[in-house]
Amino acid sequence: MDAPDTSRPAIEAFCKVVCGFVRFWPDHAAITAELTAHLEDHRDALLDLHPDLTPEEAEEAAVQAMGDPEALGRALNDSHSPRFGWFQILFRVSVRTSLVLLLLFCFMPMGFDALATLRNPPLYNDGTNAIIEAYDQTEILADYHPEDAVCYLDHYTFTVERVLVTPRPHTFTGEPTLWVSILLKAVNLDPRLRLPRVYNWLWTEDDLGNRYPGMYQYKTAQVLYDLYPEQAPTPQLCNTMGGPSLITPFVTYYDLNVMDVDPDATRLTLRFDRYGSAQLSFPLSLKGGVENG
Amino acid sequence: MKADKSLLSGSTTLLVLSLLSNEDKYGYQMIAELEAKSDNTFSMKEGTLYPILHTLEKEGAVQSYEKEAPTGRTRKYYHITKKGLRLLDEKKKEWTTFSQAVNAVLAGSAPAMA
Repeated sequence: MDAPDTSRPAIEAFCKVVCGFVRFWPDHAAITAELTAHLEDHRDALLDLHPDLTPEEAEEAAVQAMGDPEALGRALNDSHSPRFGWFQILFRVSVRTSLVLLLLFCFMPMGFDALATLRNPPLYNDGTNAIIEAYDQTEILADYHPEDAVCYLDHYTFTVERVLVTPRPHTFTGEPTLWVSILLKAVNLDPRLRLPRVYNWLWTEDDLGNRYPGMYQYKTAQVLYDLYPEQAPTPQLCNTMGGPSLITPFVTYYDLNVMDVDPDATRLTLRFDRYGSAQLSFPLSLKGGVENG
Repeated sequence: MKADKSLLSGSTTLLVLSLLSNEDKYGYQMIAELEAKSDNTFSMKEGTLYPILHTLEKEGAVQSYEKEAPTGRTRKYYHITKKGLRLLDEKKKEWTTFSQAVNAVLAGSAPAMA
C-alpha cells in the first residue's frame, strides 16, 4: 500500500538532519532522495504488515529503524568529501565543454556551408558560367526550372533545378547539335549521407530513340569490347557527363552536361537505372519550359 | 539471536558485496533481504548501509543508477563492478581465514592458517 507521499514530516526532518552533517551540499538532493525512498519503502512495508498502524506511526518507526541521523550524516560526510566532489564536477564540466567546443569546431564550418547554400542556392550548372555572363549575346533555346521534376531514391530526394539548352557544333563532325546543361540536386535529412554516387551512372535518351551514355556505361562497353572484340558492339563515346559541384551536409548539387544531342529531338530523359529498373527518370523538354530567369 | 554490533561491523562490506553479486539491488531491498536471509541475526541500523554503499561507489566497487518503480517511486540501484567482484573474493578469503582461526581457538587447538 502506498501512503500519500506528501505527508512525511518525520522523513523530511530526518533527511534534513543527515544532510546538515554533509559538507558537500551538491550531493544533498541525491542523499535526501535515496533516504526518502528507503524510508517510504519501509513505512509502506510496515503498513502492509501492521494495518492497525497509522501512516505517521509507520513513518516514525521507519525513521527509528534508520538509526541516529547525526551518526549517519557524519559517516556520509566521510564518503562525500568536498574536494573529491568538486573535482568530479569540474572534470565533468571540462569534458563536456571540450566536447561541445570540439563539435562546434568540427561542424560549424559545415553548418555555415549548409546555411549559405540554403539561403543562396546555385541557380545554374557551373559549366554555364560563360553563357550566363554573355546571356544576351548567346542563342539560348531553353532555360527553365522544370516543374515536378522530382524522384525519390533511398531516402534521397532528387530534383532537376535547371535546364539550359544551347546550340553547339558536334564534337567531331561540326554539325549542328544541342548542348544541354542540367543542374541536379540531391537532398537527405541525414547530414552524413551526402553525395550519393549516382552521377557516373546517369545517362540520357531523347524522344527520337538516341542514347547518350554516361561515363560508366561507356567504360563497361569499352571493357566488353576489349575482351570480346568480335561480339561486343563498338562502344559509343559518353555524352552524358558531370559530377558534384557543391557538397553540403544536407544538399549535394551535380553539374551534368549532355553533348551532341540530336537537334530534332524535343525531349530528353535523364535516367539512373544501374540495377535494371528505372530508379531515377526525369523527362525534360528541350524546347523550353517555365521561364525562371 | 541478534549478533553483537561490533562483530557485524567488520563484515558489512562483505555482506553488501555478496548481496549485490547476483543482481542489482536498492538499499531497502538489501536490508530486507539481509534480515530475511539471516533470520534477523544481522538486524542493524538501516542507515549504516548507505555510508558503506557510497564508499564502495567512490572506490569503484559498485555503480549506481536510478530506476522508477511501477508505483512511480524512483529508487537508486547498485550494481557490482568487476573491481567489486575482486574485492568480494578478497573479503571472502579474509573472512574464511578469520573464522577458521576463531573456530580453532574456540576448539582449543592451534589456528590452521591458510
